[in-house]
Amino acid sequence: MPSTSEIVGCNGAPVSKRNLFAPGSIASQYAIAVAVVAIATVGGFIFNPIIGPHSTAFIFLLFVVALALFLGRGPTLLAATLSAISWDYFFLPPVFAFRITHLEDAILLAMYFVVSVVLGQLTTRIRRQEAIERRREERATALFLLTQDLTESKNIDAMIENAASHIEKTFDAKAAVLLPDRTQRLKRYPYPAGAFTIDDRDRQVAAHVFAHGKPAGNFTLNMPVTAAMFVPLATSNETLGVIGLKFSDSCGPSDNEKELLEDFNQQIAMSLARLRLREVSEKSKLLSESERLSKTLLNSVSHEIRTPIAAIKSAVTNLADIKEAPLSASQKEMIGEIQEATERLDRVVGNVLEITRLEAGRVKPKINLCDVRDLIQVVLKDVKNELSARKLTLALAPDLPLVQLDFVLTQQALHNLLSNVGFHTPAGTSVNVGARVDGPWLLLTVADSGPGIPPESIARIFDKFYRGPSALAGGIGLGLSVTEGLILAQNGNIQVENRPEGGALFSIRLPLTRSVAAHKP
Amino acid sequence: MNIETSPKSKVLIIDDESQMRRLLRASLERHGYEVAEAANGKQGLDEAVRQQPDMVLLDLGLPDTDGIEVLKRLREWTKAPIIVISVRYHEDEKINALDNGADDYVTKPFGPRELLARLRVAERHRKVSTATTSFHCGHLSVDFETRTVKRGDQKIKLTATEYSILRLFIQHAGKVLTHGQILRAIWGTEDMEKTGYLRVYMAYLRDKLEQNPSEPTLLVTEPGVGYRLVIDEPVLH
Repeated sequence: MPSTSEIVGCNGAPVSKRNLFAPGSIASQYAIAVAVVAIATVGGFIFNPIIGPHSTAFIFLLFVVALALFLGRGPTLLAATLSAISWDYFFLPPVFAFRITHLEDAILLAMYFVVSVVLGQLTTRIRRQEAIERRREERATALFLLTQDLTESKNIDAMIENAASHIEKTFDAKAAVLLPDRTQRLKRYPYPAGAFTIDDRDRQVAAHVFAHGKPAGNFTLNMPVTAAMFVPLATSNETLGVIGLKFSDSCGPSDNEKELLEDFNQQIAMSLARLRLREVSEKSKLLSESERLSKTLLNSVSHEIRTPIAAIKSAVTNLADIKEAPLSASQKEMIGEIQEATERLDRVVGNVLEITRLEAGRVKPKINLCDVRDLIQVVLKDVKNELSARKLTLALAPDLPLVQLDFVLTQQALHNLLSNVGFHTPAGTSVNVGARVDGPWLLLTVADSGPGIPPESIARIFDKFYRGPSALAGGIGLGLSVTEGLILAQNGNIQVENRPEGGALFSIRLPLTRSVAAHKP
Repeated sequence: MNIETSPKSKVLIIDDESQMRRLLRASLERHGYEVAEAANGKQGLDEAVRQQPDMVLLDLGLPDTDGIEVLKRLREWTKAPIIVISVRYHEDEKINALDNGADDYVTKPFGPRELLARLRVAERHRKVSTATTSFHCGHLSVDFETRTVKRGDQKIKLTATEYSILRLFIQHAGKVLTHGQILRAIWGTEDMEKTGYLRVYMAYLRDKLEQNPSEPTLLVTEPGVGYRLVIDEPVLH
């Protein structure tokens, strides 16, 4: 913990209007002392003829003791001296002379002086004790109130808010709380809590404080170039932030305030550390909880929808397989319809689940060295039926290397593109699938000689649920969004254009080289 | 197509969906199988012990235990083929099931024909003795004693690694081998970074063994999972 001894006030004495414990300035106290002795002298003139000069001494003594109750040691001593002189001069015979004729008067004067001084001293000491007690209590109260509010703060923002308001109230200063951002550098702007807006110079000083863990700025030994003082917010092992204080008067903090400030900082730093820890643990709990929830949801939705589809599919196939009572042609046709509808339903469900997974960021590519020819073969085998009446040509570069990509995601993307071509182009048209290296990319192309894409659709064709103006019935406009998602998940991109010779051209680009981190599946 | 097994093979279906069980039972019984059912993992394990099935159809999404756990427990004592049927269609889960001893994997919704084909392959594989001396499938024939590989009548020269991979596939004919399983068996490594080697060797093997290497029918890719040696009407001696 850095010591506040590095903070210096503009004078050592605990005086300033912030100082709750010593009202009035030194000069006015002496003036009061003189005035009160003068009043006592006037009182003496009134009572002396009645009670005699020796008893008048007690009136003086009364005033001196009363003064000692309110003034410091110096003024009390002055009052004692002045009153002794005044008594001797004005009341002790011979009056209006300092001369003392009787030995008893001399002893009395000496004793008066000693008694008044001792009484004054004692009273002041008691008062000082009392002041220290009071100060201690005030500190304890201030700390207690702070600690209470800090403990009750639910989060860091509320805690900082409370801390700033307590500092501003207790030290009569404007406060600014600066905490580091994720990169462990102090944020450019202080916490919104606190009325102290910092400038560039303040920020430099604050950064210095944060880096070195020692107070700096005004009233300190380090960089007293700004009007504000900056103190570190530190626990025993790390500096968590910086508090800036701009005191309302030009006088710095008293020793007492420095100590209190140190206590405040300790409490705030501890609360901050505690809340940080809590926030981290809560965040990780929340994250794993939401991850678990979305996984459960996806799994159960996919289970609940796919199971009945599986049942329909099985039942229909069983029906078609029954040999004991062969089906009529129209019955077979109906079964064909059911089968086709089931396939379509399954496809739509698959796309919806896939887009949900992609959007939830749940698709983590498994990047491996893959054989692009093999990949294209797998896709072509799968889409054989959809492209049955198309003239299919391949344009695979002979020198295709193995490429780092996610086999399954790329395969699904290409599958979707080719199914899409099968859906949107008339029978008899041609489809060309190409693969080659294009600069830093693997370029996969699907070109058809169909009607092409309406120009107004090109920009939106990958949007979710977008269906072109000439879209055929069937399909909910997810296939291409899923395709794009699958490619983007691998840091690739997909584009579409109309070929000058007619038809659409889809180009998928996937990076050939990946950072080391991406290699790990 | 119509293969009557005699005596009847017994299939245990472990699936919590009663409708699925009914439909599977209908398909299987029509094709000459004897069927036992279990509605959850615990019951499945009990039934497996009691009925001693020849094959198991296991759904991964069971209400009481994770299907993978059931799979592991079954594999502790039985060699009966286990085919996983599940709506979990992600490759990681397929790999997980296969690596934990499943023989095959069918994703719901599937057609009964597809399932029956897989069952026949698994069943045939079960009956094959490990001490085979030769293998014939389509145009491919392999003699393990003389280490000769032929495509039709043409003798094919394979490197040592290519031969080991082919042998591994023949030992597991019809079954999906995951990348990890192949890497472990051939290179003795778990390092998935080495899949590149595997891809290269698979391309070589196809060039040498397939009639048309650009449309492989023998060594097919199971996307994201591994490879499978397809056997239509294999004859093993």
